[in-house]
Amino acid sequence: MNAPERYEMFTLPEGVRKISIVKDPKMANCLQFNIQREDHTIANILRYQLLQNPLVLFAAYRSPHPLEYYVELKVQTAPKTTPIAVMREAIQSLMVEYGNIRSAFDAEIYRLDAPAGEDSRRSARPAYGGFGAMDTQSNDFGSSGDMGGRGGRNDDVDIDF
Amino acid sequence: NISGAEFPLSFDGQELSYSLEELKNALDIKIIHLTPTEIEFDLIGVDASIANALRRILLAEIPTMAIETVYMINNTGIVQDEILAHRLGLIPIMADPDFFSWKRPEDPPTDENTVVFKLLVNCTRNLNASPDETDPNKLYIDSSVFSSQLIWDPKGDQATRFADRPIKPIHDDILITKLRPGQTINCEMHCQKGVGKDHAKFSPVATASYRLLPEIQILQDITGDDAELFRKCFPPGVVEIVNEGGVRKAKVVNARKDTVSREVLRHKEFEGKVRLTRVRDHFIFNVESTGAITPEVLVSKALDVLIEKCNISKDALAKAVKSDMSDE
Repeated sequence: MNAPERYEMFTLPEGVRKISIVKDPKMANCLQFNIQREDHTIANILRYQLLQNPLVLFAAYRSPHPLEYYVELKVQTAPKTTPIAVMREAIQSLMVEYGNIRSAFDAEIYRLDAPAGEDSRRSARPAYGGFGAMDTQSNDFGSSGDMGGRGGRNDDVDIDF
Repeated sequence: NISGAEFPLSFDGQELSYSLEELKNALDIKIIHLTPTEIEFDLIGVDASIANALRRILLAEIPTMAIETVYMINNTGIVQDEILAHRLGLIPIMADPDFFSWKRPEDPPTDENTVVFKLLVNCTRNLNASPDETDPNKLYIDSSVFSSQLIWDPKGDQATRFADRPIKPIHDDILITKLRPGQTINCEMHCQKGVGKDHAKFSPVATASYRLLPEIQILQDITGDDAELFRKCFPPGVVEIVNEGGVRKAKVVNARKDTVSREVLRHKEFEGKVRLTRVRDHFIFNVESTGAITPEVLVSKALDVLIEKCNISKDALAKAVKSDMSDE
């Protein structure tokens, strides 16, 4: 009766920001990131990657309610750096790691001489048409077609503002 | 038995390096088995959270095509409309989701985002059947409705686009419902693109799972008849008896085949001589596809989806920080 629609799990409504940042009043150098319309899939890997960083003092996530589709990720760092900086580094390392896994997997497939239908399909198609989430904010299918998953995202580094 | 840990998230023999180059060297992927429907591969040198994220994406976030709307024109069978529609939705469809675009609820159905199927079955009595026949397949014609009776109705330029790969249900022998003489089913079905998160019918895998490589450590030598009993405790091929200096010793040759029944722990002879653990960063993935997308393409797509998710988080983070700064 009160259960939300299933498409709410991944559709970001108008005007709602994907990530909102809340400063923790009691701990120094600590921020809480509320990521909307995400679940353990992304939160757990971010948390793990943050914990690999020796400058991170505290990193944890929780999903407050299974029917409310957002996660809270709390990060506290040493004074030398800021939580935002380590978050950026963590996301970047994760993208590189998955890029490496992707290239290693492709190399294995190539070694096995799997049917070439996969490669030709990827280049002939106009756009990959999204990735699974009907994200109303990124409706531009053309841009997401450039996957660059081969670990070549090293040039797409920090956003300056 | 969990291996000892000096601090959380660590285990014996773990690759404890923060530099990306060293991690890159530790990472390894080996494909063990590849068929058109199933792939078994090893992912070595990553953490459990990364392997789990891959598994979750394979299950829930790779788009496929499935029957989403069923327009019932006539259903005089025993099975109710909604139950029949539910069963139709679960039929896997051989359609490549990359060729279709997303359809939002307010969009009109076009040949770019919808595939139309028609089902028309009328059950009649078989006049040639013998009088004391009891098998309904022989007594009636079309008493069982199978997925092969779903007929694709190509719209627009779908006929030319999919000329070499016609869209149809993957399996022809899925029993949808049963009818008796005089009962008819006439309906039109619309297939749309969706993800497993929305409804499990959109999941592209029959299942995707991983297990950790078992590790059997023999702490003290097991010799003679004990070695023979030890070998019998494990599935064939895991433990072999070798002859070292005239003594028959048990040696673990292929821990991968072990199904971890822990039968050894039931025998008092082996108390303290064996430790059963798992190699914490060696994941044996088993991905079985329903057939719409080949399994190696599935894994590639899953990795792409994950990278894209990280990208979205990165952009969102930048936006959040920017708006925070402008608010202050």
